[in-house]
Amino acid sequence: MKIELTLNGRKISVDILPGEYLIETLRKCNIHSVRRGCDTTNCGVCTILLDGKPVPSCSVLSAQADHHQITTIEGIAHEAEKLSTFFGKEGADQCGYCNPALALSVYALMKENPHPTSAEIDEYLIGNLCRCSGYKNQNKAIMAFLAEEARMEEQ
Amino acid sequence: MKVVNQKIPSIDGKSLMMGRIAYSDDFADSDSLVIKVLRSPHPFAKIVAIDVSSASTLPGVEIVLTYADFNRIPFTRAGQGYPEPSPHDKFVLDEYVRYIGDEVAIVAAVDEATAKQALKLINVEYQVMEPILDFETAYNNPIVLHPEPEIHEMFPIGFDPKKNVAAEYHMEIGDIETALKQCDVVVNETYYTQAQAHAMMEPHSCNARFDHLNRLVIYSSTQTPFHIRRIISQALEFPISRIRVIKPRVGGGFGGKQAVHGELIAASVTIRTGKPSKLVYTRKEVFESSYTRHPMRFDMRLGAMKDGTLKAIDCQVLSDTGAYGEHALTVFMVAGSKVLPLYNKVDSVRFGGKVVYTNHTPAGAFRGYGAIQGNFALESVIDVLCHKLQIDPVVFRQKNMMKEGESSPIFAIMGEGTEGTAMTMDTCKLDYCVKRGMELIGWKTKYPRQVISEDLVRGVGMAIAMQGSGIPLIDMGSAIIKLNDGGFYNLLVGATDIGQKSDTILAQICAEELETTIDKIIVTSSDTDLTPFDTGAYASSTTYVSGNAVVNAAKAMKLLLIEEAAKILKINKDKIIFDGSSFSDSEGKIKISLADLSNRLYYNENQKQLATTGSFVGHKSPPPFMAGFAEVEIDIKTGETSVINYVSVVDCGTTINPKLAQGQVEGGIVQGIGMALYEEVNVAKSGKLITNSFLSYKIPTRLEIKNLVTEFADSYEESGPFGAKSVAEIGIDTPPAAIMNAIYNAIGVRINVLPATPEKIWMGINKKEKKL
Amino acid sequence: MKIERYVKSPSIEAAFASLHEGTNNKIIAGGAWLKLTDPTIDTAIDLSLLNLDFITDNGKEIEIGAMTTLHTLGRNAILNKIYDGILSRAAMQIMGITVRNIATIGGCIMGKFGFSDILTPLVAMDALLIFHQHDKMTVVEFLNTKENIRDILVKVVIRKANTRGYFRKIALTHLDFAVLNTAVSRNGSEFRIVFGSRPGVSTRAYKAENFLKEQIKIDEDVMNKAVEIAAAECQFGSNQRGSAEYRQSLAKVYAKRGIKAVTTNEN
Repeated sequence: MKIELTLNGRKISVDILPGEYLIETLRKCNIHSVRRGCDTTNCGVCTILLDGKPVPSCSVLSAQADHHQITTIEGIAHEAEKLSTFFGKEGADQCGYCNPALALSVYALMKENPHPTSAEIDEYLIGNLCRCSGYKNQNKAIMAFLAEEARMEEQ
Repeated sequence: MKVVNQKIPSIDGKSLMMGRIAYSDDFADSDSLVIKVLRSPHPFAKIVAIDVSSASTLPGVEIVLTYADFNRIPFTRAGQGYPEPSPHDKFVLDEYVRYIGDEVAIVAAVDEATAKQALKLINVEYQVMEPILDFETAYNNPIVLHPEPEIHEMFPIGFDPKKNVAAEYHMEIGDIETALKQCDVVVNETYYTQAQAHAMMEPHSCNARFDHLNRLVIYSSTQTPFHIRRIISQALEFPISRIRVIKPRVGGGFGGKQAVHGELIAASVTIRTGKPSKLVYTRKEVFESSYTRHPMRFDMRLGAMKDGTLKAIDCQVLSDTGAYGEHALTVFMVAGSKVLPLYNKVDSVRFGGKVVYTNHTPAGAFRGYGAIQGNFALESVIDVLCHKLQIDPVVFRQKNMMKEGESSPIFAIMGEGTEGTAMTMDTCKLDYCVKRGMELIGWKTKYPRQVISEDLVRGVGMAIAMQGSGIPLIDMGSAIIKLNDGGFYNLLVGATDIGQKSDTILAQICAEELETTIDKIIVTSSDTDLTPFDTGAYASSTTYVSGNAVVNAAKAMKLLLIEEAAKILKINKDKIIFDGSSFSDSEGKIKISLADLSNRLYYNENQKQLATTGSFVGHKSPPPFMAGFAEVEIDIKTGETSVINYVSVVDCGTTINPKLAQGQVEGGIVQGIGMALYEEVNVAKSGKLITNSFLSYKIPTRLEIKNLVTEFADSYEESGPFGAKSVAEIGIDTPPAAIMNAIYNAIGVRINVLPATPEKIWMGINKKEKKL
Repeated sequence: MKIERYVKSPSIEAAFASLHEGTNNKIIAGGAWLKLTDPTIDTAIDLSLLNLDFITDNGKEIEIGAMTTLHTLGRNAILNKIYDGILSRAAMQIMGITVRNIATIGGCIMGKFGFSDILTPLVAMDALLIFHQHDKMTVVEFLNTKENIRDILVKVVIRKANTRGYFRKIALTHLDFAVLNTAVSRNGSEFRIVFGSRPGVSTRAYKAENFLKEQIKIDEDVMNKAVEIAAAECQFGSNQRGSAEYRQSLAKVYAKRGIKAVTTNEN
């Protein structure tokens, strides 16, 4: 079947199977940044934004997304780059495999709640597993990034 | 120091966050055959017949391979120096399958769906055999798991497959029985550790193709590209000169990728079909069919005098290597060699045991590599002894532990598969680490417990640990530095960045030595064609071993540069002053910039390429040390427990990059907390791993991790690059013991079998209440 | 998993018709757990065009559309208040944000999953289920019926009252399924004590509820008796997440904490 997606702001039409998941469809569209981590909706590595909301692309049927907006890290490159500088400062980036997914979740959090507490960050991002970092430096980087973005917003 | 010991952002972090092409599967050819592996449903069986005709003829299937398609060449998948201290007991495919998940057949097809469908069409007739699923019954069991005649050890490691023994080792310093007899107090405890899963976020992934020179090019998410090249050549009888292994970015390894996993399979498919192929493990395959940590049993005996002098340590180990003996001997030996020297003043220490085969998922390398298992046993039993002696466990450790300038006879006796290397502790800031850790956790006010409410009790506990910095006389690293026109450098290293950010660390070391900035150092790593040899990312070796190689290459480059500058400036090279960007005489009157020098060298006069090579092999392995302090909060009605504070004070010498070093320590701490409290491994009676997904196998989430405090001791290891020792593994060692000690201090319940789940703690509380 | 056809139904009637066209036709709610059940589906029926994503307060009742996601439940101001917000609290403890953004209240109910953290508070709130064709029924009736209801759940109704509530999920890590979840609610002198993930599906402790109703004063002694009754009348089983004994013990501890919470000002 054919579906229409708005992928990072660009309207596209893709041929899919009815049982196909978005993670597979996005590969067909040459998006490599959406990666597989588990097969059970637990790890968060394949996170994308569907109409601005973080969802696991391994568990959303592509047919469900027909006529919806999909954002991958390429669609928020500016914010991702900024977030990465805060990760760099805190040494929060290690293997990086989960980082595009994490950045998308942070972006969605920022839109939903620009001034989260550390506890709210944990609650929002709990589904983004990380085996490298120990999490704490990530949180420091995310807090600093959000504070900076909020400051820019006010100006 | 301008670059080293600075919090410099990693050189690849930005690209990775922006989702650039970086990991193995991103490099797979778009027309790759997709490989799927048929895996054994039985823990132990012989393949009586295997019919692949329906699968082979399914449209879209390119090739189906079974054991009959391979020459019988035993090898080990362990990515270790050659000859390996692991038995050669594995075949690419074998007529025996030895665990649920073992490889039976290989299918390569045009797409995943076709490959999966073909798997279902393979008919296998198994002769199902009784497995060994309890490692305590494996030794000398009438069931023999490895009866095949071709398998062998490379040098004596105690390999005795007829008795299901993959490796065995014993040593004794002094006379343990006499020493124990002379002690006022003797304690005797048994501990068990579980088959922890690495759970790196990127599943094992590799892909292969032939290039324009008809050479086999493999991208792999591996920790050991050079070992992969060697093992492929040996196991597939394919010329090593025709193999190129490239390790791109890797999404975490932690030891789980210190082995050949899918590479032999993808290589076989591409060699036989001539077509590109790729194999990406499912998460289930990562859990069931890669590696786990070696589960171990420890029988510990300690003897001490009433005044708190530790006199004797007896540590007897039984280790479960699962179906194959990868890293069997060495992980088990590290449980002694990187643990027991912590208490170096004893009269006698004995260590020994066996590593047995079972029908479990094979065990292999995992961060900590035996040390975490041994540390849990020793640092737990030390606390048991302290309570019997009624001595504060911190005071006891301060009295008995290793100090700077001291040594332990164990270093000379125990190596990794061979004899060890004698060394004294030129840097050992354990004293400081313990003292500072006490302050940071608030030991004096919090030890042993604080009652928070009717239901909540808090306790503190601690443990000390050591690790190594590479394997002396075995682990080798090398580096090539090439000067470019425009005055910047290429740094080519075999060292393997698997997410620990070693490319950044090595660039910092290189920039520091060449007195330049990190943007002038372009790192290329882990390509067996382009970069010089390196044993790989394991044994906490990269900073110390590969880092020293970079220092050597950079020193040579500096000499070369000064020589060339002297020729051009026509002054004696001893008079040249090089500040990293220009050369001048002592008055600064005659001058040439590095950029001009390089441009002249390549375009104008006496043209030549400047390049230097540096190598390093350690003659010792200076251990990093740390003290870990845990504060736990326990609901005494339910056993629910959380670590509300974890304090780490680490002596890893100079931190090349303090933030990245902190990341290494905290990442290790959290994996250690996982092993201590959450990462329960369940195996069904059938031998099937139940905890084979992230739904059932629980690693800590960000909500489990409350507060981490990490500090580094002021320390400078003369033999290390700019004073550095290693920092990759030391973080993981202390949490199991420190947390169990904290739980005991809080509620008087001692958990000897990891992990300490709430139910186990609840049962302990109940048992204790019944006794009262 | 295999899906032959995928339809986004334009109306409830059309969805209902599709559902009854074949026995292998299934409603896809959020799809969060679809993969785990590995189904073979002829027609997958998508309800996303039916405007079933709503939470409204009509003064007497709160109505929740069946396609409302867990994240919406968690963040909704109305639900955050009623019964001390137990439904919101339960929703926010399920998996991560990505799953909460696709999993729906309808899917959680219709799946009758034993591990569900949503069913437990819904039972404690006496929630009413409104179907397209089938008679309305309470969540408890729905969980207990043997009837295979092949219908479309339209909305969930919660009657408003001066209510108190308590919910706790006990799990190994915050991303795990519960070893046990417990909800306790009070509406005047009426109590509900509910245990879920036992590992069986959520169930009420009727005898304990009745016992509490008869008491004039809820003191320590009464609470102890009530939780003994509750733990005895409900069935607890063993699986890899915990033994029956442990679950039963947790049930007593958390039921007592719950009763205490809904009878005092603490929560």
